[in-house]
Amino acid sequence: MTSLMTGAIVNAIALGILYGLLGLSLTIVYGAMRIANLAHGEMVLAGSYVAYVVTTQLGYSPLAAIPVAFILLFLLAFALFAVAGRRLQAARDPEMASFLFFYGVSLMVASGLLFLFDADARSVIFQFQPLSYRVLGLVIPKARVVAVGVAMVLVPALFLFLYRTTSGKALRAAVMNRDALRIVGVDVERLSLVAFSVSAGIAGVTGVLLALVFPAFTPFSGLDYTITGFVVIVLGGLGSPLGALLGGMIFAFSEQLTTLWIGQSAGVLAGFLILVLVVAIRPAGLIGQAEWKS
Amino acid sequence: MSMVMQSAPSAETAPSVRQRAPLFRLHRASVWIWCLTLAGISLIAVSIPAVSAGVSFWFYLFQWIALASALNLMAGMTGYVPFGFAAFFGIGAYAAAVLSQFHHAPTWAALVGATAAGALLAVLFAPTLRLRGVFFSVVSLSLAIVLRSVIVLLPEDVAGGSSGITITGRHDPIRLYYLMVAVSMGAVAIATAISVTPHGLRLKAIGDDLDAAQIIGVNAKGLRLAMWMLSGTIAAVCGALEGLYSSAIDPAAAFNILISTKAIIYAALGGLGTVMGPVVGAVLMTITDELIWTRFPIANLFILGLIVSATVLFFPRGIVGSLLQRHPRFRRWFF
Repeated sequence: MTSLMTGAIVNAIALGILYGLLGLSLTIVYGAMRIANLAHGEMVLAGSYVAYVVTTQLGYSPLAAIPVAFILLFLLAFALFAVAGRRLQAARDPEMASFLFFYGVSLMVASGLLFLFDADARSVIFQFQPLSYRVLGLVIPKARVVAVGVAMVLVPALFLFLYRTTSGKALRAAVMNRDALRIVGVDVERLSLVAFSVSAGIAGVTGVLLALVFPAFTPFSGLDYTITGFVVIVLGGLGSPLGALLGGMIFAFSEQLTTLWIGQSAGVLAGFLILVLVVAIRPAGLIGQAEWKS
Repeated sequence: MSMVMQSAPSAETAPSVRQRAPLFRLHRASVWIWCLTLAGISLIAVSIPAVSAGVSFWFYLFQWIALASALNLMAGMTGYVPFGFAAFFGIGAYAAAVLSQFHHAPTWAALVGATAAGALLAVLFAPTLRLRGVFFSVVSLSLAIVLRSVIVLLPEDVAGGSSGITITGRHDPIRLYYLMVAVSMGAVAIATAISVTPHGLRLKAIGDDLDAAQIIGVNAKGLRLAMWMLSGTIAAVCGALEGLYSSAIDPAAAFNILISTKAIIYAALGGLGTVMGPVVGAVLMTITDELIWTRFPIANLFILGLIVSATVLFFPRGIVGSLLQRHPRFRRWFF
């Protein structure tokens, strides 16, 4: 039982970081621009398919898929936002408009993936050497170690960007007050464009990493990722990078531990129940700020 | 423009809403014309089974009119967008199926049970109305997922488990179709009634600026709860009718998130917050859906997505909403 327990905890940590990464890219866009990116899951999924093409079809290492996914999704998102961004932000209710717009985008991406790759579940087939590590009696697949390792590098890098660079600080300032940011002379339009593209790029990388952890994906897995992402950021507090990470951890832990103690179907339930509880007690999320909402 | 000038002094119109108060100056005749149109639609709908072999297309057309109108009561009129709208549809379908299959209830009893279940669920979920914006949407979605998981976890002889319920009892499909027509026309009639009475103006005020509306004395909480109950109950009845009509339900289909998103999209395409919008949107999209589905099965979702995205970019207020915004004189006739 203890080894099962440790196994579940190790899994939860791995998943928690990936969920945190998922939420991190989503929260940057939502917090700074009030854009509810309902196509976020499809962007993640596109990253998974990049990993599939690079490894299973071309035979390279999944690590090679990471820059490919980042650049591809960065460019696609750049083009998309250049076309639609201004109109969406000028809408009477940007949240609602972007929700609907990106729902349309998610349908288009999902059907595009369906057209390119069929409805069958795909998986990344790549043999790492060695296949797995044995630590304290636990067998940990190397693919999982690689995924977590990359996330461990990426998350601090993102935090460094958000808290130490001028652009990152401007982005966090946009979460608090967009108008004030304009007054001090920041080009908010350009900031939004870059932030959205970077967020999509990170989503793509997250997709590559998730493809290493979750065995299979279909063109319709996107919505699950989107829902998980939103649950994670609402749990942690919208617009808070640290909250996203915390939310990801809590969601992963509740899911894994309940699956271990009660069963698979209860595992899904637990995360959502915790969300409902947290929001009932603290409507702004665990470490969210309520001020900017008004 | 002239109608803005001749604003009649009224206790209901506070300065902030006066500029966009044309609802109050809605032509009385336009309401009558609208009611006659609805009566005409009902008449045509009732005669469909006599001339057409299958009513399936029409059944779903009226289902989407009802769902889009019900969703509009909440999302369009109060600005609260329930992602988890499918929960009501699902609980209605399950209540009707369980009553019919496991307790041998006749059609009317199954429907009464489903209505009660929908209303009860709305009361249970009412505390989520304290939240705003995306918080509300995400929590409402989570509750729908929780509800689905709970139903899967229940013993099979209580709610059918993960494989769902096949209804073997006899429910006349033509009668169910008539009931669906009645429900959808009822939903539109409720929306009309709310819109032409001062409640419509109060709701518009809540949607525009909640805090300002509360300051001028609008009972936002009470109105919102009423809309929530209405929209949830109508969705539950739709779910019950659909469940009995298709005579097979399972958790994945009954709580399908597409039910929420399609209702939102159809209503938004026609024009959220207008009475005619959801009807126009639902009719257009159900027909489009049918056409695309039969002609280009692979491109179906892609075209649906394209329509949705393009509408948001170019007609952000939907078809009826954009028309009213560009030609304010139509506000006397369309609402």
